[in-house]
Amino acid sequence: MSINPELERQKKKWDLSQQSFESLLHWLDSDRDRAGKRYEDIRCRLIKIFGSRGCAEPDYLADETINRVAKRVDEIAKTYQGDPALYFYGVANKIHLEQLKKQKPPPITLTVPALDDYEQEYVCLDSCIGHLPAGSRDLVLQYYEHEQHAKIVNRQLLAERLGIGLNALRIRAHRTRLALRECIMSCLEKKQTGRMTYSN
Amino acid sequence: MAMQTEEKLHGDIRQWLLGLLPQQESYSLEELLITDAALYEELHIVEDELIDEYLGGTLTTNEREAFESYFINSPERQEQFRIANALKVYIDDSKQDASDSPPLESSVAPAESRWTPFRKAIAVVSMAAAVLLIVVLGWYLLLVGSPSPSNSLSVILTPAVQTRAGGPVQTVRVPLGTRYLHLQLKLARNDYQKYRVTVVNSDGNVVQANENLTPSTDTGGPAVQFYVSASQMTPGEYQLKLDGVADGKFESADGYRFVVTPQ
Repeated sequence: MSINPELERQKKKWDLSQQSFESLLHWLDSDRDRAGKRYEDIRCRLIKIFGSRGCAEPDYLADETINRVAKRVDEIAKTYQGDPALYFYGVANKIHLEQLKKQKPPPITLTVPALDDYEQEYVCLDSCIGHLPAGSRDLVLQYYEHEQHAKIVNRQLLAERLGIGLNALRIRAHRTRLALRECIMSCLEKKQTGRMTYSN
Repeated sequence: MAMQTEEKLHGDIRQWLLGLLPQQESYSLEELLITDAALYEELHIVEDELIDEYLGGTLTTNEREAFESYFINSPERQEQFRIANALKVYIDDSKQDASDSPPLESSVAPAESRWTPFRKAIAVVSMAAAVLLIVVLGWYLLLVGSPSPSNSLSVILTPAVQTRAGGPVQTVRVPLGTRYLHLQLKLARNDYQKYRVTVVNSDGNVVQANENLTPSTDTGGPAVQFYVSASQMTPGEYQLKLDGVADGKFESADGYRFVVTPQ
């Protein structure tokens, strides 16, 4: 079974032995596909955690965390009991402390983008919304319109019309928005080629 | 997960994203975030909501400051912000376009005459009458077309008990004029936060499936409630399969049976 090319790139980048990498995946799950998915889940979460702590290079720190676990995975697998994700989290905390000792947190350099700085995104959004199925397009436009109280009432009516609960509606709208965002990101990157894709 | 716990988690995620959650609580939340798939999705939803609230000007002063000094300080969130801003403008533009649709009166102004004030008055009254008619008609259609106690038949079902003979089956006679069946499935055990119900007729065809149903206690004990159009429920036997949702997967929870008898 083939595995995500991103995983293969990471394996080479970290200079891990094939055995360590295989052991890491096997520790995560005996099924290789599920292990690959679990690996990516853990990596994304580590990036999010490092990012939310204000670390300058969350991707690098997440990879460093996985690298350290992978190098000792045979030993860990014999003795550690519990969710492997929590072991990664423990190592991530250690790496974060090391970073704090090495250097002060980077100064805040990014500010809120100007409210009129959205032209490129708007053009792509216009195109991507046109590619959404009609139901999804209506959902996004109706879910995110209105302000304050009108928004609450509007969403209740929308949920009733779709025959789902408010939280289910919230999740459905978010997933559509996520698909829309991925399309916009793809559009921004590939504006030259003009080909747009949805991930789902 | 209890409602209060869900609300607290939501609040904690919000504070954590803004860098306002105390360190010890942050560690506890991060442990959950790295292991709980549903909570990770919630994190992304709250991120979007924070951005929308910032753009809508509804964050508190404290939250707004934290948003500007902490939350937005990553290239990924900067892009999220620009896209959210574009979406807001797009939706505002869509509403504007709708309100800018051509006026009812001709764009070519008729010659002024002594009848003009009367014509305008008649036009205003006619338009008001038309609007009123549309509102009343819409309200009537909504009333007739939506499930309500006056057009629904409430049916309380208990889990099917299987015996050698197949077990007792509840019978339902649907009176004329009934538009909906309001089915209330009593739960023997309320082990899930969300349920899926599938209604299957005697031919094995799925009549209706409803997902993301939340159990309520309106009818005494816990019950899952939903509506089925009466026109779909022709005389015959029906089976209802109730599945609980756990970690995004469906698990069989209960089964129900009933027979719709002819008028």
